[in-house]
Amino acid sequence: MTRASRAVWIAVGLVCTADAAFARRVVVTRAQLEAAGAMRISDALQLLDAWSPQSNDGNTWMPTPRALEAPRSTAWSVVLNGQLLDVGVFDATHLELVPVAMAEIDSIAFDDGVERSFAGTAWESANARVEIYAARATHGWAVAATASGGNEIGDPGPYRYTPLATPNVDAVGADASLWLARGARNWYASLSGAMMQHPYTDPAMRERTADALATLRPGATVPENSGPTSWFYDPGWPAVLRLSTSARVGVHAGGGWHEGTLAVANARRYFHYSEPFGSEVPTDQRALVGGATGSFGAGASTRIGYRALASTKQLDDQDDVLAFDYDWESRRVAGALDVTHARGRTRAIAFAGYETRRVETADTLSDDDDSFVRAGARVERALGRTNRADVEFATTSDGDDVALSAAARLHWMVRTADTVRVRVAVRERLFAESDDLWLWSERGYGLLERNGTSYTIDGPIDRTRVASADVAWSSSGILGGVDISLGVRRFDDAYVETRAFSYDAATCGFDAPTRVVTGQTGHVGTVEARLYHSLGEHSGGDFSWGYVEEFDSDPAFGATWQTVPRHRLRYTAWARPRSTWAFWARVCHDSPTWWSDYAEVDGVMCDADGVPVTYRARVDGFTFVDAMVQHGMWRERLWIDVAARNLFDADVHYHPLGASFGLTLLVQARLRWSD
Amino acid sequence: MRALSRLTPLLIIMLAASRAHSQEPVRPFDRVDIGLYGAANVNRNEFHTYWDAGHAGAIDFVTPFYAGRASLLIRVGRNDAVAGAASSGFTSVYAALGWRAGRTLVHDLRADIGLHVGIADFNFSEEAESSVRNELELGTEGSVRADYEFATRWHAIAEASYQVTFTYHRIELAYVSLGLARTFGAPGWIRGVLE
Repeated sequence: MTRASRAVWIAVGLVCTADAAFARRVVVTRAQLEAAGAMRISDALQLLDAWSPQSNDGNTWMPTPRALEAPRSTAWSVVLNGQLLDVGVFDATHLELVPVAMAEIDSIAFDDGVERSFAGTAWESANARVEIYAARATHGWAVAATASGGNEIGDPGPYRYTPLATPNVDAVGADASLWLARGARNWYASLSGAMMQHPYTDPAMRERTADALATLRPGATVPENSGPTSWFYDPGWPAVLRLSTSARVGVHAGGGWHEGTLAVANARRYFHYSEPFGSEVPTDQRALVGGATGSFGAGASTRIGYRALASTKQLDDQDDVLAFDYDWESRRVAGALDVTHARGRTRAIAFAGYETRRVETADTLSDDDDSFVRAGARVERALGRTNRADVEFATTSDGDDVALSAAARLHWMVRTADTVRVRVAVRERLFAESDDLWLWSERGYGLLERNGTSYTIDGPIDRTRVASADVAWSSSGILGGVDISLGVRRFDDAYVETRAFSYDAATCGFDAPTRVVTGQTGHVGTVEARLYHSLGEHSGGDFSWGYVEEFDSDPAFGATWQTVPRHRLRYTAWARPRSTWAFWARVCHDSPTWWSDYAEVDGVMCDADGVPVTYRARVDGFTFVDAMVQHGMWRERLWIDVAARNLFDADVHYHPLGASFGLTLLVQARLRWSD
Repeated sequence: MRALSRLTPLLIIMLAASRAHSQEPVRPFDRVDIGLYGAANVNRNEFHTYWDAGHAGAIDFVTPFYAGRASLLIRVGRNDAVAGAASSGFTSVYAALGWRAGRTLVHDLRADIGLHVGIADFNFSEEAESSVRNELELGTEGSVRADYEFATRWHAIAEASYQVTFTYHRIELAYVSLGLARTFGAPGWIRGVLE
C-alpha cells in the first residue's frame, strides 16, 4: 500500500464513517465515498450520524441536521458547484435528482454552520446545506464510470406458481454514470450523464403506489410504454427513473477559477410519501440549472467572489393521465458577491445577494413571485498561533419582512492534543423562503383541495427562529481520539403539522385533515460522542453515539421530536490488508420513535397482495449490520464493490408506513482512467 | 436471519481452519482446481410439496487466497412441478462466490468447510408472464467436503452442502455431491486481475 493510499484510508476512518462530533463542515472526498461503497448521493448522507437521516422508501433520505431544523424539514439546501438547486417536492427534498454523475463527484460537504460559507449565505437562510462538488479535469483526458445494482431479498421465486404466491420484490437500480473530461493547466471541460432507477419494493408501498398509478383523470387511458427508455423502464410500474446530464467548463484566470455549469435532470414517476395526503404521491420532476461562479484577486490582500444562476423546476405528469398532478413550475434567478479582505491577524468578509422566484400554475395565486435581498459581514480574528474567533451578522429581506442571523465562534487549543470549541448562533428564516405547501396553499395553490385534503393554519407565520449553543471538546493520541459535543437549541415561532389519521383499507393509505399549529416554542438538547481507534497498521474502528432530547416545549412541537430516534449508535470497522483488497462493516442501532399522528390507527393491517403488513404508531428500535468487500483490478483503475446491507435481515423501519429494509445484496463497478 | 445465524458457527470454524491452513507456503491465485460434480437433493420440506428437486450438476473453480481458498461455484438443477400443486417447474442456476478453509487430515486427504454467497436464478417452464420468466434471488450455502488426491493433480471429492435461498418463503435444500477435480496452474493474466 502506498503512503498516499494509506493516508486516504486512515482519513476514511477519521471522517467518513462517522462525522467529527462538532465539525460544522464535514467534507467527504471521492476517495472516502469510494471506500464506503457509496452508490448514490444519499449513501453519503447516511454516513453522517449527526444528521439523523430517515427514509420511507430507501430513495428519499430526509435528515434532521444536528437538530438545527424541525425533524425531516426541507429547510436545508442543496448546492452543486456553488449553484443552489431546487430539487424539492414541497415536503421532501429529492437529493437523487441532483444532476451530477456519481463518477464525477469530487467531494460532498455537509455544512451545518453555514455562516462559514460566504456567498452561500447570500443564497438562502438555511441552517444546513449539502454542497456537491464535481471534479475539475486534470491535464489530459479523463474518463470515469460507475454501474451498480442489487437485489433485496423476498421475491416469491418459484412460489409465484403456487397458492403461496406473494408480490414480486424488484431489483435495486440499475444505476449508471459516465464522466468524460479534458483539461489543461488553465482550463477544463467535461460532460456527464447518469441514470438511476428505484423500484418501490416494500409490499405495502407497492400496493399504495400501484393504486396511485391506476387512478387516472377522467377520459385518460394508460399510456403505451414507448420511447428510448421503454426497453428497460415502464412508467406504469411504481419505480422512479432519473436521467441527468451536465456540461461544465472552467478557466483559471486572475488568480482564481471561473466556472460555468449547465445541468438538467428528469425523474419519471418519482413517488414520495406526503403526510398531508397520507400516502405516496407521484410526480414527474425536472430541474434545469445554469450558472457561473468564480473568484479573482483584487490587490494583494483582497479577493472578490461571484455567483449567478438561473434555474427552473417543474412538477407535473408528463403523460397527462394521472389524477394527481402538481401542475407546478418555478423559476429562479439569483446572484451574489462576496469580498474578502485580510490584514494581519484579521480577515473580514462582506457579502450580498439577490434572488427572485416566480411560479406558474393553473391556479390563480395571490402572489406568484418573491424577491429576496440578503447581505451580511463576518470578521475572523486569530488569537495567537493556534486559536481563533469569529463573528457574523446577516440579514434577509423580502420587501415586507426582515430575518436576522448572527453567530459567534471560538476555537481554543488547550494543549496540542486537546481543543475546545464554543459556538452560539441565532438564525431567522422568512416564511416566504420556506417554499412549502402551506405557503403556496395560503396564496391560492389548490393542490390539497383538488385531492380532497383539508387543512387549517391556526395563525399567522412571518418567520421562524432557531437559537443554538454548542460546546465541544476533542482529544487525540497515537492510538485514536475522542470527540464530545453538547448542544442546546431553542425554536421560536415554529410551525408544525398535526393530524389524527384514519385508515382506508382499500388503498392501504391514510386520510386526515392537517392542522398547521403555529407559534410553537421548544427546546432540544443534543449530545454527540465519538471514539475512533486504529486496529493495526491498515485497519481501524470508529464508535459514535448521538442523543437528542426535546424538553420544555409546546405540546405539538414536542410530539414532532418524538419521531426522531433518541439514541443512535454506530460502530464501523475497516481493513485494507492489501492495496487491492478492502473490507468494511458497521453495526447501527436506532432507538424507537413515536408518531402521534398515527396513534388512532395503530395496529391496522394492510393486505398487500397476500402479504399482511401491520402499521404501528410506535416504530421499534432496530439494529442492523452492513458489510462490504472491495477489490481493485487493472492497476486499481477498476474496482468491484460487493456489499450486503442489513446482513441479518433485521426488521428496519423509519416510519409507521415506511418500507422494511430487508437484506440487500449490491454490486458496483467503478472505473477511473486518465492519460 | 435464522438461516444466517445457523451459518455463524461455520464461519467461526472456517476462520480457525484458515489460520491453520495459512501455514502452507502457497501464493494466492497461483493455481486453480476445476471440479465437476453430480449432486442429489437429500432433504424434504415445504418446497417439496410443490416441486421434485431432481439431480443437479455443478462446476467450481477453487484457488488459493490470502487466507483459505476462494471459490466460484455454479450449480444447475431441474425442479419438476408436482402435479396439482405448482403450475410451473423450473431450472435453477446458482452462481456464487465463496471462501473455503480446511486442513490435511491424513496423507492426501483434506477436509474443507466452505461458505458461498451468490444469486439463484429461476428459469420457469411456463411463460405466464414473459417479464417474470426469469427471477433472481440471493442465496447462501454452507458446505463440508472431503478431498482425496488420488493421483498427482487429480482429486476425488465428496461434499455435503446446505443452500438457503432468500425468497419470501425461504427455500432450503441440502445436497450431497460427488465429483472429480483437477489442479491447473493459473495463467498470469488471471493472477494479474485477482491479486
